Amino acid sequence: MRFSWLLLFCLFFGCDKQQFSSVEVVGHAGNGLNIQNSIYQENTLQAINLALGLNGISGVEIDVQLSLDQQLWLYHDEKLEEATTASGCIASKNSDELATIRYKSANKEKLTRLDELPFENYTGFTFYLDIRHFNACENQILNQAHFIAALQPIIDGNSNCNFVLITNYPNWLAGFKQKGWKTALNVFNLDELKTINWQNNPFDAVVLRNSNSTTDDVNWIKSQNKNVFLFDIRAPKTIRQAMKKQPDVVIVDDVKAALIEKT
Amino acid sequence: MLLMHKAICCCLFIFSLSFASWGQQRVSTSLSLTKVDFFHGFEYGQQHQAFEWNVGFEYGINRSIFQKRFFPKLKTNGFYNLIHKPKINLGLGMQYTYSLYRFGTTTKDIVQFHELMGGLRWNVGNQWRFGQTLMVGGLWENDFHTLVNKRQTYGTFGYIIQIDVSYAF
Repeated sequence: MRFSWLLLFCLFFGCDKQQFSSVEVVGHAGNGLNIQNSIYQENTLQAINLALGLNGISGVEIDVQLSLDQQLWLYHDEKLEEATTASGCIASKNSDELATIRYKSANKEKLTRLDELPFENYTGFTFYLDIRHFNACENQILNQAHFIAALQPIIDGNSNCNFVLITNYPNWLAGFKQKGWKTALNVFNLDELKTINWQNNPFDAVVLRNSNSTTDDVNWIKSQNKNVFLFDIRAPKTIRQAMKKQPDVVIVDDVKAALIEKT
Repeated sequence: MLLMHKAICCCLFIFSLSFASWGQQRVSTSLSLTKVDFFHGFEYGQQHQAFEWNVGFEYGINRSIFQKRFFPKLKTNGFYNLIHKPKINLGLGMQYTYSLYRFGTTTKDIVQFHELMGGLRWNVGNQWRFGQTLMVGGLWENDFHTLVNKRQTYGTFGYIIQIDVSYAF
């Protein structure tokens, strides 16, 4: 009986944790993407505020799409019908219409425009802007100059925050880099990364799905003086696996679970 | 604020336990899925004719076991059995739960949850009973928000899907 209590105590309070203090924890789409324990819908002002209020978080990753009138809106999916009461694509709609759209979630949050975020309150945090370059409704790639023109006042006007632009479209890297912005290339795996011309498509970091990367991959990328961001990290076991690879950043869906592992 | 919540919850729990025996007593063990975590726990209850009153203790499996961060939950619920037969009960009821865990190293990193839900519960059997509970309602999360330097509460829709095995004395 005495030993069974000891076993229970060890189960709850065992202290075999590793330290991952150098790994930064970043909220995926704010406070987590499609995760049941998140109070708010992803990519909303409420979710971002909730995540950035947590002690120990370094920033948030958010998905940025360009509307027809060249405003930047936060939305993850290709089509609005996936998560909202509307249909179509952000790139095919004007801001007046987008401002009236609400998510199908319990709290019925509004779509959030990037410049609605109170960046003055977010000093020191890093925003990882996942740039969506494709209009799925019209099957075309958007004009990068329009994206840059919309991003410029936000990045230049909020020097209290850090911004990293993530894209899976290498052709856009040089354009962002010319503005002096930090860039991250989202690739499927290390093999795809090695097929890309690094001279013509400059980037500071590589974004990899956790399940498609090994510790060796992470170490190799870091040896090339690039930062490594891992994403698609949900369950506690996966968070631990990702952190053990010692990337620079983990983009997580359960922020509190990641902060537990980090501490 | 945190102490007040704890005090209210403890009082409610002790108050519930202090009920004199007024009906058939039973103990149960349960496994439940909620918006916050999977929970395992134990419940003590009394049933008098169509009325049931239960109190229980649970712990969050993901946090407590897989992350070694103790995540306790106290709960109390009451049901009125619309169908009340020797081997089957089907009741409507309400449940309040309070739970908390710490995700960081300081007391500011304690996150608390309050759930107030209503729903259905049925069980079959005689002395040993198998039961299921389905509840929906409000879930309120209370965190310390570092940007505004105070605790804030956020509410949303919550649910509980539970299975349990009980033994009636």
